Amino acid sequence: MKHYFRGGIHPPENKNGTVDLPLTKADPPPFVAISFSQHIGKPATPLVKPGERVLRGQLIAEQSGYVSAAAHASISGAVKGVVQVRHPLGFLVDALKIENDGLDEWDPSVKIERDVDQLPPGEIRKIVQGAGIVGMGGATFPSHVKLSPPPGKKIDTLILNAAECEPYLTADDLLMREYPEEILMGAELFKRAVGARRAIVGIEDNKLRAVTALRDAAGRIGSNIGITVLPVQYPQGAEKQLIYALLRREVPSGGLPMDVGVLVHNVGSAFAGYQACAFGYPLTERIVTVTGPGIRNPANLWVRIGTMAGHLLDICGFDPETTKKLVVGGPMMGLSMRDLEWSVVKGTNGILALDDPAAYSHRACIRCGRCVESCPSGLLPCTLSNYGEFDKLAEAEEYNARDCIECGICSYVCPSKRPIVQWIRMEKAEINRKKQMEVK
Amino acid sequence: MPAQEKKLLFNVNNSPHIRDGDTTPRIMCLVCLALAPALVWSLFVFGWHALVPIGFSVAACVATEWLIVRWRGLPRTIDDGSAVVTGLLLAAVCPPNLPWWAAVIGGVFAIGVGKQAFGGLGFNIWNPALLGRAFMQASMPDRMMSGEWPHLGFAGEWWKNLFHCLGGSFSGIAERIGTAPDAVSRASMTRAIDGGVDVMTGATILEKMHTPTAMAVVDELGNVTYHAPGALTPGWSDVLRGWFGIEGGSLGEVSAILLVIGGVYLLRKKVIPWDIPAFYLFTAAILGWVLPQPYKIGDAHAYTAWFHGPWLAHLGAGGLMLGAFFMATDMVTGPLTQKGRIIFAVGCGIMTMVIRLFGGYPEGVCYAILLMNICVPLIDTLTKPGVFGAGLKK
Repeated sequence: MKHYFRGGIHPPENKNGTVDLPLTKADPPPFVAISFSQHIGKPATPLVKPGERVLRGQLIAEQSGYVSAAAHASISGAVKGVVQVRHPLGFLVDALKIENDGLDEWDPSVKIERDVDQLPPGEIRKIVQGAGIVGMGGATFPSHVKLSPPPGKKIDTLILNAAECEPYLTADDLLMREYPEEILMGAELFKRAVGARRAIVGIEDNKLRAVTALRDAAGRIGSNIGITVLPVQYPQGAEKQLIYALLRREVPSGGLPMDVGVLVHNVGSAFAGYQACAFGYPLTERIVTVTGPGIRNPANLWVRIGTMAGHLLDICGFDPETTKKLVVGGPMMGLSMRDLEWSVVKGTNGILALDDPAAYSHRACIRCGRCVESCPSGLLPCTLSNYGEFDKLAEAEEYNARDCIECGICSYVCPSKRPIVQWIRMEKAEINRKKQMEVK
Repeated sequence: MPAQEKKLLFNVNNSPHIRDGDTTPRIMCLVCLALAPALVWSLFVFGWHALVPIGFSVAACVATEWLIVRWRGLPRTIDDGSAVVTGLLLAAVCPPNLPWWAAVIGGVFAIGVGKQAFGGLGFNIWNPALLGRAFMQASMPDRMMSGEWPHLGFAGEWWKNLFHCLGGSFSGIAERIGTAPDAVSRASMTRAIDGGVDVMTGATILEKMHTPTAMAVVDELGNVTYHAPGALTPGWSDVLRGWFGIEGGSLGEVSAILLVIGGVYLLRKKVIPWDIPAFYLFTAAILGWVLPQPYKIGDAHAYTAWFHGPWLAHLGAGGLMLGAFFMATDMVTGPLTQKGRIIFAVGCGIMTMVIRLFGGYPEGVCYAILLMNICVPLIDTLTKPGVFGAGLKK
């Protein structure tokens, strides 16, 4: 079967800066600020008081509702209190500041040995929930929710998203090269948790070393998980596009992957799931790619959750002169940060120091059709951009603005440098707001 | 000082944070470059005075754009280069001996009414250059007629001799070029005026092919038989003259070959899509070959047989190449999707050939594209791409 999806582009990959670098451990920072809002859903509720000593892996904030996730201490030390850090979306959120005592002492509840082969599905879900695992590709949706499909929705296939289609990022690539067995065993656990028949890893052909590592690992552990190599194309890592490329199944507009019997998890989430199930490790660290023209020593780092951005940038030789823009995530969908008052969260897969100010002044749409040709959702982005510019909400809805996946291709290809995707985001937000008001 | 302690403020804007290098001014610049060979050829063929329509039309377009945008209180747009492109394209569809004031009127109309009245770049319905041309055609038909044959006055003796040599195979044109260009020019003009029609420029071969009168042959017994006119079966020399541009006509339309070279350049630079020129030319060629050619026997109409049309002459003649590569491919006035572009191009091909063969004008490219331009909103609505996952059950 030919693996493809509709539309898409091939921006410069820019992965060379970090793809050959080893995976290194960043020294634990002098303090961490662990955000209570690291996931989609309600912020976690803090459980510890200032002055208290916490151990690494200790639960410091519990989930406050079904769609929410717990947070754990990533270092051992004294709780300083609640501080404010910047959420990737720009606003300030509460975080727990812990001062490092340098001992890195684990909480007694972790570092257990568990036989994962016999874990029942319910138990897997419970462990994943307890470990505070969220979608680690950047979307940060709580994993236990995805592992608990509502009755009536049968999942037959688990897809591990290893596309990492964003330029610059190599975090998943490194993870797969270093820990292929753990990832596959995590996939086996997730597969069992939802009762899926099979599991497939979808990976792009610019990560052939990872492909080899995964295939070797599958042989070693006797796993029948398929490793499918896909031609490089952005946005391959977009859930619906990946499902289509691998299985030729089209997720209904407004629907979820489970509507076509599929569950998609990032490889990082599968790794974290295995760590939690086998050893009781909660999610306290992750791999972050720090790169870009403003970074003298790019790196793939194991970073403790809650590490301040400034600390991380100092490790990597940050050059504030050349850096005009600081981006969290990939350059296509990542968010630009205004300062350094933020810490690494569970979804931080990369930090890019870019020199391009990208402060484009846009011109009128010349209807060249490039955005239409490459839109993976089959929209007319240029038309939607005009509706956005001239405040025509009803027309925007009629032209399916809500089906936009915000991959940013339209803005990328636009020769008039129009911020098309931003207008569509605004339309989507407005349409949703109106819908909600109608319900009330 | 560690970055941590420094208060830094970075640029904050929305994703994507990288952009493709292509820009609207670059696209316009490439179109100008692609058009250059054909325009330079026109200087060579007609002489320096062909610069008059080119210069005044571009100047009028740019000045009108600048004035109106300023008057509307909008940020300056002349640096996107689209007004220059309109000016060049307008000049390309005007005769080389157009007076300067006519070029200015055309340019002001093209930008003022054709483009800015609809809201400026991106919002115009009609191709501004063609709308300007249609306006001039309607308001000053005698000025827009192809009065001029190539006289190579600018080219010097050497080239004239070369053309004389070519004259052996290019029968007919050699004497015209070599001996009495002015007489020919006058003759062709008179013929057109006598015909009493709005003759399009550049329609010289087309003019001859447009409902010509049958030849009467009287045999020894005194029986009169009528033969289809020779113009409907043009020889290789006529066809080649059209393709190479040793031919009267609008200044940018003369050389089909150079227009194809410019068009292929644009295709390679991915400025224009391949589907519009391909389907436009294919449709025109097929119809030129299939359809019966009308001619006259006295006052009565007659038709040649099906499948005998001079399609190669039709392709190289008139404004077809300019229209297919430079006019119909105008992004603003064309459809958004490939399906739409194919419908549009096939429509242009049909309209062009129907006007050429059965309409009042010998040339139909200009009106064909203008008519298809109006259909674009409808085509866009009908060819809206299917949304991913639309209509499926959740």
